[in-house]
Amino acid sequence: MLAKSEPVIRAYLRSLVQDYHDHSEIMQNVFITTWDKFSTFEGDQEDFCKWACVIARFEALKHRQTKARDRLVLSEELISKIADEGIQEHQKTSQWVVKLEHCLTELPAPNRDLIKRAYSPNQSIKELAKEKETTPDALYQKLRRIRKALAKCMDVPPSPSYSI
Amino acid sequence: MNDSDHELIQLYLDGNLPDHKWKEFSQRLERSADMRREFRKLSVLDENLRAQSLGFPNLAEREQNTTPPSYLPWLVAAACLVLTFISWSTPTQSFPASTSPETKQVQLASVLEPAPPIAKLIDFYDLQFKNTDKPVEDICFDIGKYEIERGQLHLRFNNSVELLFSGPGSFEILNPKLVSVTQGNVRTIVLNDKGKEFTILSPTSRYIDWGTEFSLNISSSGEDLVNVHEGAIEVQCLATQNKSQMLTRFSKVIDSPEFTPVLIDKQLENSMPGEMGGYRNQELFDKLATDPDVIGLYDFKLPLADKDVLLQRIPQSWESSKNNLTPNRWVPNLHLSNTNASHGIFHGANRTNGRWPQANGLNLFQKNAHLSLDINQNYENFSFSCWLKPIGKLNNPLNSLIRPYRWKKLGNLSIEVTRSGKLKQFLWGEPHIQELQPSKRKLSRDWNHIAYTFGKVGEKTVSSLYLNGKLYNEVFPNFTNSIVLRNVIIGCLNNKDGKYLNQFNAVLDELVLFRKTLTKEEIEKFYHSGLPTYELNNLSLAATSVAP
Repeated sequence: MLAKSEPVIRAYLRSLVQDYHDHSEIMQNVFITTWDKFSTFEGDQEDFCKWACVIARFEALKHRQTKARDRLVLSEELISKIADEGIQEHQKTSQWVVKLEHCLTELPAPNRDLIKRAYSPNQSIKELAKEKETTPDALYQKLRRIRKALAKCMDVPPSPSYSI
Repeated sequence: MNDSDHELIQLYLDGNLPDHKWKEFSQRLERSADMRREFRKLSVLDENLRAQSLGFPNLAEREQNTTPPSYLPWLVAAACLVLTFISWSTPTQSFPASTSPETKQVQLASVLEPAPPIAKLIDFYDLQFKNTDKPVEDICFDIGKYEIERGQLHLRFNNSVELLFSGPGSFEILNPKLVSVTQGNVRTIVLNDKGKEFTILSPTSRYIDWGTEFSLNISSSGEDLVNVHEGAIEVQCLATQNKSQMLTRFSKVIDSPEFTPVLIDKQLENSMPGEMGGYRNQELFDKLATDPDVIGLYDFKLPLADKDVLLQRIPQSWESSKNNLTPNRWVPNLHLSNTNASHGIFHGANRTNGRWPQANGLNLFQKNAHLSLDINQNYENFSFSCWLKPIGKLNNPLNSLIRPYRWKKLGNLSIEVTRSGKLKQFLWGEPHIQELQPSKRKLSRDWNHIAYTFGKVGEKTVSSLYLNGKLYNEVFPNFTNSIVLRNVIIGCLNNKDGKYLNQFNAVLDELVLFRKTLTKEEIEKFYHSGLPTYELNNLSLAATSVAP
């Protein structure tokens, strides 16, 4: 259950935590808490996903409190709002995750390669821009266009053969 | 929701949102439900692309990894029957009439690259899983639980973390950076920054690896023994998650009373990468035993064959003493069909630990210690390979590795090691051949791989020595056309007066003789095949010995 729901929980948490390193640490906490408290859970896959998202919400807000003094963080009210909407519409998140994999295959191969490389942990945008003989700003622009196209594609209803 | 909202979200997720736009972003997000929806969608996009690049399986792979229910094969079979009937009953229907979701799925799947499993199998030894008899090589180490009855397993996560597990016990892969262990002995090594934060969960505690190497024994009684070999790990008590303590190799006791289930044991030394290499090495030897280019294969284990069988291929120098020999003096030639090289017999030496646990090497420790064997033919193409570990000092100006009993004719080869550990090669009748670019490398105190090759390369005859997979020196003989060894002595030389001199004070293991000229690539492969695998991929190792 946890394995199947993980992409949805990760994505949900991403909307609540900006820093990627913090995100991965909180995600580990979510994993451990769900794993630890699994004996108390009753329900199906969908309920589990929702339950884990509630745990993620709690962990994210707990983390937000540690960053309260930081000027550049979203307010607690806003994070709560995004978190609540995310839980209410967690099925939508599932659909987006499913759809994203389809959308990636529909990208032209050079764009797909570019976006995958841009997210590769050992690849800096500066180096990639140099390799593609462009500037980092231009590359960021191109990546934004690709992501925008993917985001548009993700709203097309998923094929019935996939479900979470 | 407009383009500028979209851009703000992307800047935020990239971590590039300028300070002066932060307030605007926050306010617009607060006001617009549409923007928040788009924000959540782009978070899905961002997170999944990042997770996949870090080795997390995508959804399709997770679906594949889920164990199918037992009735599924029957359903598939029934569906196939129905489809066969439909296709038979409607022959006029063209294909593809339209792109059905299923067809589209197949087309899309072909575009997706097959993703590797979360953990890569590196090695195993005497391994038995509880619920399956499936060969270990066929098991896909993805998210799931693995129960081990006995034996050892070596896995690599995301090219960044080595996990060595010794049973009995069980572990569960929860994600590429999180493994829960109910019982068993673990050694974890973080190879590079990507592997930091790799976490082991025991029933009572959580061990976060911050770029280190540590051993951990988790018992069924709920007590954990831990020893940090290098770097630092963070230990957290699961009952009081906020409490954590950093442990280094200098830590002697756990300070806080909350950590009572965790004990530091400085003697704890779980299995190292490479220790299971004995299995890989055995596989290599099994392969060489049927290789038509191999003439001699010696691993120094105690002979299984009885004396009568061994006596059929006795080295000439031992012919007169054959009745006094005991089987433990024999080193059988393990090649299954080639009889060109005899079995070996040693003198002044004994069997000792070889390169791997449970393997034997030959300790040439006495002044007259040597191994004798015969090679019946002359070889225009010849190679040999062995592993050597010096013990103590090399006592002589030249220490003899291999040469014939009598140094008297063209084709005789001798390889010697100087006191300082440099390799020299000599060919009878070729006193003036010059080494090209003599190497400055020396034999190390650890296991060294030495290989020799002889044969024609184009028009020239080349005689080359290799140390640890790399060319050491090569010469171009003027008169020697083939290697003539006949009665070989390994480990010292026998002079005209019958005295044994120039003892090579070393342990010898895995000796192989070939009737072909090994290429540089073959020697490199041979060398690497006998090493701990983690060294192969040029991974930057945090801190461990390279020696097996």
